[in-house]
Formats: sequence, C-alpha cells, structure tokens
Amino acid sequence: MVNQDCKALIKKVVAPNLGLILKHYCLSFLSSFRSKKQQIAGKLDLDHFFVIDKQSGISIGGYSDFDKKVDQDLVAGMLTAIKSFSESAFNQNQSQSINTISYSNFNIFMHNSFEHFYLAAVINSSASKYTQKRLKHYFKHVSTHLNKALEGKTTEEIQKNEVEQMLSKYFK
Amino acid sequence: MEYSKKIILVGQIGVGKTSLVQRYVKSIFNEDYLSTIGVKVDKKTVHVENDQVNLLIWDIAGEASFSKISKSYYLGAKGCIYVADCSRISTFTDYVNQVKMLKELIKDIKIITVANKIDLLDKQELEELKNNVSFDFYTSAKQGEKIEEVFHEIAKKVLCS
Repeated sequence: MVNQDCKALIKKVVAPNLGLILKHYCLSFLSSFRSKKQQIAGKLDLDHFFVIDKQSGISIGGYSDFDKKVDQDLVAGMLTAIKSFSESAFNQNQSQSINTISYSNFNIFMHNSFEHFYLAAVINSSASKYTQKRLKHYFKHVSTHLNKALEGKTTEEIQKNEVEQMLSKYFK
Repeated sequence: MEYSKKIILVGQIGVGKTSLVQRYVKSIFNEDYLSTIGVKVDKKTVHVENDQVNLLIWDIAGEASFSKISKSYYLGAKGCIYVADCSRISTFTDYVNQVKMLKELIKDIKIITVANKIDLLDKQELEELKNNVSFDFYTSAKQGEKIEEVFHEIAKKVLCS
C-alpha cells in the first residue's frame, strides 16, 4: 500500500521536476567544489612570519597578520636561543636542529634556508599536513626571493622595510 | 637611525647577571636566587644622542668553567658585559682568560667589566677592591647603583663599532 503511494508520489511530483532536482544537486556540488578550490588557492592562515639572523637572533624583517603585534626582536632572539640551546644540549648541528615548536594553540615552524638567516612562521591553529605542505611551499618561494635580494649583505646593511614589503606581497 | 644590537652577559654562576638585567629592564630586584638555565633574552631601547639602539640582552647561564658554555650563544654579539661578584674574589680570577677567549671568537666585540654586589662591602673593603682590581663599573643590582650607566656605556660602544 505504502509502496504504491510512494510510486504515485514520485510519478506526480519527482518525475516532472527531475531536471530541477538534478540541477540543484549539481549546483550545490559545484559550489562546494569551488569554495574548496578557493580555500586551497587562497592565502595561508598565518599569524606571524620572521626572517632571523642565525647568529645574533636579530629580526631582519617580519610580517604579521595578527591585530596584536608582537615584539619581533624579542621573539626572534628567544627562538634563536632555543635553537642554540637544543643544538648544544643534544650535540646537533644546524641541519639537525629543532624545526617545530608547539605552544598552547601556537605552532612555530622554522626553516634553515640561508647561510646567514632562517625563517620562522607562527600559526595559531592545528597545523594539518596540508597546511605544513603549503608552508614548505611558501618557505621555498620566500627563500628564493630573499636569497636574491639579500645576497652579499650583512645584517647591518639590510633594510628592514625592504624585506617587510617583500613579505607583505606574499602574505597579504 | 634605529639599530638592533646583541649584547651578552657572562660571568661565573651566582654573580648577579640576571639581577642586573632585571633591575635594568624591569626595575625590580628579587632576593630569591634562581639559577638561569641555558639563556634568557630581554630587550631594552636606549637613546644615544640621535640614535635609537635596541639592546637584545642575552643573559647566559653561568658555569664554573667558561669552556662548558655553548659558543653559539656568543655568536653575533657586538658587546659583552663581564660580571664578577665583589664578595667572592674567585669570580675575578679567570677574567683575563675568558676575555681572551671571547676576543678570539669575536674579534671586534666590545667588553665592559662590572663588579657587582658592592652593597655587601663596606667603604674600606670597596676601596681595597678598587685598588686591587681595575673594573669599569662597581654596581649593586639590589640598590640599583650604576646599572643604567653600564648599559648606556655598552650601547655607546657597540654603536661606534
């Protein structure tokens, strides 16, 4: 009895509107696909990014996407001190040194790309494998550009504004 | 112009390096002794004539032997404050060797010598010490004596380098 009612209902309502129903589902699928694509292509959810002198721990430049600005010099100094501490405590060389620090909701990723500088990115969320992969991509691109721009310059000769303008182009 | 310079504080364990930094950066003094582990970084801005100098102060944990401290803490430093304890003459003894070692590591490093804890000596004892040991500054982190002068002087020196 119920089966017959269902068949009648389908014949009366669904069949004439089948095209519309299919169109609706196709559109919603397409829209979710588009938003996913935009998310992938969109900017990285990054709080802070630093370029740091490996030896002195002085910030060469930085980018912040966070309302509350942090003291770049202080963060850069402490990160360098932690790196130095881990290298000396565990007798590691720089290539084996610490590259991730997790603190509360913050994840700090470090990348030794230069002879004199290293990069650090702060993300205030759980960093999925996908985010980490994208971050590696950013590190690689920023490194290539910075290498060209800073080649042969000492920490004192580098213009902080120049580095920060370059970083803004990447992350804004 | 604005400059950022790394300054290191070295000296034997318990001479008052952390107290000097706390007094200078935060204007506080803590009677309780807590040994520094590894290194602690602080920052203070100093104005030298028309220039602004951001001092990145690396307070390095003291060790009985200087050679036990990781060299990587010293790298990139433009200035060094060597601290000794007025009440412990043993903290002055290896000063020459330590400065020599630092200069070998960083050729153009500027060094200032500080004899801390003068509040533990009476006038006569202090005079005797000054006659025997020629240090740049005689300070008291506890009483806040000559602290500003020490950091202003190192800021001036590193700016010239």
